[in-house]
Amino acid sequence: MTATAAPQTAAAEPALRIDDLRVEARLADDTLLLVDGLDLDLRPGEIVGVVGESGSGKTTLVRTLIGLLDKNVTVTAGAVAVGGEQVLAPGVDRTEAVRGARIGTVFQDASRSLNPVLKVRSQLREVLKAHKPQLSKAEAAEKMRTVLRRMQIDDPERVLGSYPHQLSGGQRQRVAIALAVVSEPQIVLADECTTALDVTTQAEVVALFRDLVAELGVALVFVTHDLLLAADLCDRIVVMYGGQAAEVGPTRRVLLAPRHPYSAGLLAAVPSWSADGPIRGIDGSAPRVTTAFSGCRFAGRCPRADDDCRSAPIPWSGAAGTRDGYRCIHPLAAAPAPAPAQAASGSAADR
Amino acid sequence: MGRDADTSAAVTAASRERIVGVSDLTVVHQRRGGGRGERFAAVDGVSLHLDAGEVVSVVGESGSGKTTLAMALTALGAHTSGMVELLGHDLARLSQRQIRALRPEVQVIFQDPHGSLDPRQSVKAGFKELRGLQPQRTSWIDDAGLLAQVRLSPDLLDRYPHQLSGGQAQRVCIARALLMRPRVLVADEPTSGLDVSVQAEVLRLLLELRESTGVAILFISHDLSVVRRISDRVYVMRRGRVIEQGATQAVLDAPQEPYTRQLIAAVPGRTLRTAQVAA
Ligand SMILES: Nc1ncnc2c1ncn2[C@@H]1O[C@H](COP(=O)(O)OP(=O)(O)OP(=O)(O)O)[C@@H](O)[C@H]1O
Ligand SMILES: Nc1ncnc2c1ncn2[C@@H]1O[C@H](COP(=O)(O)OP(=O)(O)OP(=O)(O)O)[C@@H](O)[C@H]1O
Ligand code: SF4
Ligand SMILES: [Mg+2]
Ligand SMILES: [Mg+2]
Repeated sequence: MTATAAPQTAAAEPALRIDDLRVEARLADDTLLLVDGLDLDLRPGEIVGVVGESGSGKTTLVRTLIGLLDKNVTVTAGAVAVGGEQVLAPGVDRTEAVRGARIGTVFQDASRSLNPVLKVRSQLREVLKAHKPQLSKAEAAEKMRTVLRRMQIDDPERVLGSYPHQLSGGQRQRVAIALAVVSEPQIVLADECTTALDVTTQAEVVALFRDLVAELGVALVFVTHDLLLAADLCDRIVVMYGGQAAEVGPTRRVLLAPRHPYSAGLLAAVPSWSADGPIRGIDGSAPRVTTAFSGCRFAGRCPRADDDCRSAPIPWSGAAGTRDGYRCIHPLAAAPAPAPAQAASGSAADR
Repeated sequence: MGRDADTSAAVTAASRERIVGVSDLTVVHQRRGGGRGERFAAVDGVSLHLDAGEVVSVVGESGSGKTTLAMALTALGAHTSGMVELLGHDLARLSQRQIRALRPEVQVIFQDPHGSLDPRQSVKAGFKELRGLQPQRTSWIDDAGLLAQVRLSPDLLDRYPHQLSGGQAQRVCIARALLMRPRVLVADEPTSGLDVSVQAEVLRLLLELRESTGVAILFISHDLSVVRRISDRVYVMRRGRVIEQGATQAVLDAPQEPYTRQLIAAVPGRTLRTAQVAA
């Protein structure tokens, strides 16, 4: 299994390829666009961070990839390939076959990851039985303990013998991660999987992900609202806004010299440790994006917006040969921005 | 042990009403089947207090007992020994009925937002139920205004919890707690799933609420930079015990315990700034 995911194949086949993905939700009166025109390549051994405001479509993206969308939500355009194999395309839906086997998922909502009536041990055992049937009982038991211990659970026996409701929030979250990674899938989708963890444990989970990626060539999609954490872990960053990618690029570049005004605003809102001034957000809120929406989604909040921004869809500006770029017609200067510490405390936003 | 609890807050706190007083509280989780680790104290001899208008934070590593403590002092969870005084009542002396009568005064924003919303109830139906229970208390604001407080648009009123994003569900939970205008608000990682921009808004909202209604807020969080900004005092928990406490600035800028120092040192990207402040 892992041989196909070895780094040598990296150049040839992305572990995950998403082309022009569009996802819509039908409501009583109209249709919402949850994901629109999203492209993404993920190589084996690569970590992509997906960041962006609440409601920007991050979880929808994750659920689309494994075919677990709500009843009123459908994929209306685009294609997804896993290891070169079509999984989602017009008339094709093989998401169920890859779910769990080739794609491990940590859900944002822990209750989706965990079965409330089974002890942790049984849940891990089920995953291993389904995806690593060759393991002996003793090997499986050893694997379960190892994965829990690596997540700073210092009492794995007690946790293995517990039901989810007998665990703390952070313990549940770590068990959910264990369930997603224990069978060593080629792709791991981790949706806000460290929100309930204290920073020390968070660092440990980040280290675990780094090891998985380095040792097994796992490709990781790391959804987070924590820019500092994304900066620590990810090779590349996708900044989402209103269902679209606002900006995509190497982590350092995006965080040090954001081109899209929304990326800059997001950086400026990172709470700083020492500042005592008011906590600063981005004024306003994201628009309701129906299929009839036109113009830039950020225009209502953007300090640079003008009439051009509101009149037509904003094209993607990208460097040739990569998927990196941004969706803005008046981008911030490409010049190197100040050092990260300053950027995080609010001077990165050119406004 | 750290310095005395509230040398700095003492002057103002003296005139304030005590909202929660906990002394020598222990919570032992019963495990079925006994066997290994049978007597396990998730909270072990904790004393704590919270006065009207205060924001007090509880920090500590995962599994240190923060949620268990919060459940015990709001009477949502049982305690094994020790005393809890809530709004002037000794919890041990209250009947279930009397405890239920206190409920509206004591609101909890739970750690797992999706888990605490009824999946069969739309956002609007949920508000309606709360309003039905407490018509007067909840009449201060309409549904749309309430959602606007947590920066949600009124068209989410017809949605069911599974049709909300994680951060939207979390904000609906916050809105539900605010609607009741409680005298005590326990917020268990209330902003953990929120992006920085919305998080800033929610924190501002909590502080405004404190100003306007004098609510006492017990704030549980692992985000120390948020704790530093929002709270008057901090308790640091480890393995069920309070190992350090005091005024926020004092504890976080000059921690006495190595454990607290470790917690602070691990804050990503903030180490440098901490050093600058401490120097
Ligand atoms: N079944 C549904 N019907 C209608 N709208 C939906 C449905 N599911 C999600 N949405 C909406 O789609 C948008 C994107 O939701 P999604 O869960 O992908 O956001 P997110 O980026 O993960 O946000 P968060 O950071 O808060 O978790 C939200 O505005 C949400 O309300
Ligand atoms: N119902 C229960 N039965 C048995 N043990 C429990 C139960 N609830 C919690 N525990 C244990 O008690 C300890 C404290 O849990 P608690 O939820 O209070 O931690 P916490 O400080 O809130 O952690 P987190 O930051 O991860 O949410 C944990 O080790 C947990 O496994
Ligand atoms: S296109 Fe215009 S409104 Fe949109 S982000 Fe760029 S400058 Fe702002
Ligand atoms: Mg989400
Ligand atoms: Mg907890």
